[in-house]
Amino acid sequence: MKPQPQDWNALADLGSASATGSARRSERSWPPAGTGAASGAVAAAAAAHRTLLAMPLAAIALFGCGLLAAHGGAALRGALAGGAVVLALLLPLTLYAQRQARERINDAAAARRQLANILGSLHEGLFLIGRDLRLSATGSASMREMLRLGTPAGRRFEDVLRALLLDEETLAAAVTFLQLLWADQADEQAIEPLNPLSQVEVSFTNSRGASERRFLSFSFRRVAGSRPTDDGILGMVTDVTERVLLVRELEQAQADADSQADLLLELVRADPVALVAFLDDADDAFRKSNAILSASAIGQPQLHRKLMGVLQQMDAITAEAQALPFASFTQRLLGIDTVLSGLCARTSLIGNDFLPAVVRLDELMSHAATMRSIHQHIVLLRAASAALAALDERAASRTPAPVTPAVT
Amino acid sequence: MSREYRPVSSEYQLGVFVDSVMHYFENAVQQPAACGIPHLAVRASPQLADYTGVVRICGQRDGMVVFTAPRSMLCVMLMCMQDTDLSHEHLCELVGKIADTLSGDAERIFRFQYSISVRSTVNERDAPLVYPPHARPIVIPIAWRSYQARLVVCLAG
Repeated sequence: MKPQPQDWNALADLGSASATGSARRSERSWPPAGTGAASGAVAAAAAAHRTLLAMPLAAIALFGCGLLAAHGGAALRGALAGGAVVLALLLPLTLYAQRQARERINDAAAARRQLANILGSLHEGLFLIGRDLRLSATGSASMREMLRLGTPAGRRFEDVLRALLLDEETLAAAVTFLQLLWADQADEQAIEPLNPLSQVEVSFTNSRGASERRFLSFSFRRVAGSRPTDDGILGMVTDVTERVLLVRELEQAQADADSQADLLLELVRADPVALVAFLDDADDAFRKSNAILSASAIGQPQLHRKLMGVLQQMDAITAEAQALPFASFTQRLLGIDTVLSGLCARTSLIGNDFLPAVVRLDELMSHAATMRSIHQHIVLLRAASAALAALDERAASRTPAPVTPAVT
Repeated sequence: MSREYRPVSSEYQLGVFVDSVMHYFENAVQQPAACGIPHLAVRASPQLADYTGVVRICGQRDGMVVFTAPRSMLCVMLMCMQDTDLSHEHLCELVGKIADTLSGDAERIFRFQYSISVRSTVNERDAPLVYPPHARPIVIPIAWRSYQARLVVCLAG
């Protein structure tokens, strides 16, 4: 089972601490207590083991040299036999210490494997930034995938962001925020809302040279290592593209709902003849634009000619929509106009670039169809209302005048 | 105050399907394809080629994603993959694999928005595909070597 965000929080809790105070340093430190303690214990056990073996051997060697100098070979033989007895007594102790050390080494290796498993299976991107604002080698696999980083170790976080972010202001704000996070006086909780990367739009260039936009959410926590040089900032990045797009879609749906009422008013007020003529012209322009797009084209000049052709069709309709005026239509026409103008400014175009224009053309056609449908309903309602009024009038004229009694 | 009209999602969804097909050509056939100029199928349903893989989608928007390719193109693709079996079943399987790639990517990326049905393969002799009413399919030509395939995305609402 993959770790859930709450598990990740627990992992992150291991590292969050202020950079001041050794007491707090020991309380929350990076790397996690399991791995750090185990590796420390292994080193201590190995040192004790070495001391245990070296001290008696050194003592016996010194004692033997002394005896050899003072009393000759017989005394040395006796001393060596005594030494052998001492070593035989020490042997079980040595083996026990060796076993302990091996167990601790195994524990440390298991802890490292667990950490690697966690980092490998996290959905969230996890990374560590040093005081020099460079990425450390420790990081989750999804971080490399999300930030498109092959080898993050040693790279300046600022450079990583520069390649992703769309504007320099956000980059500068991010660097300032990270520097602020390092300040001993800074309250981590208080400055958290200032994080400029809490939701940020980034751009990646894929293997075909096309640009891919995603929305990422970064969060940062200060962590203290076992030594001051091990201090770092623990960063977490998640891909929130789906969420952001859903929110935008919801906002769009709300805006559309608001505009329906405006559209109805526009259509009620519009001159019916002018409206039908406009809708016919718009339909004609959209079909012509689509025909231009569907015709085959080879090479950049032909692609640009296509764009100009579609732009001309749209410009004519935009002028007509502004004159009538139909605000909802004009707004959508300006949207496609912006897309097409942006494409015209490019020197190199590929088929993918036309996708936004086609999506907007589809929306314009749907909007025109909605307008025509509402207008037809309004015409029917007006006709029905006129017929009812005529019936009422006729009924009133046929009704005989009430007979008034003659006054004598 | 007027809002900016930004239907990001539709473009994003289309981009995912196009990328998915492009990746298939890059990885499986080892020769990249090129995306042509997309357009709308306004008057009639898009024409299908000899073999067609269909992925049906329901959820936030209902519809289908279709990959349709001529027999000659699929045969050359198989040869590029060092496969000598050019039988009808094998060609159906290849177009099905492309549909699988589409459905797999869609499932991975739109898992919160859509439910992706198991892909199906149809060929020219089958009944025509029924697209969602009031939706205009977007046709994206896919050029590979001298062959032309089509990716058709039709999502209603």
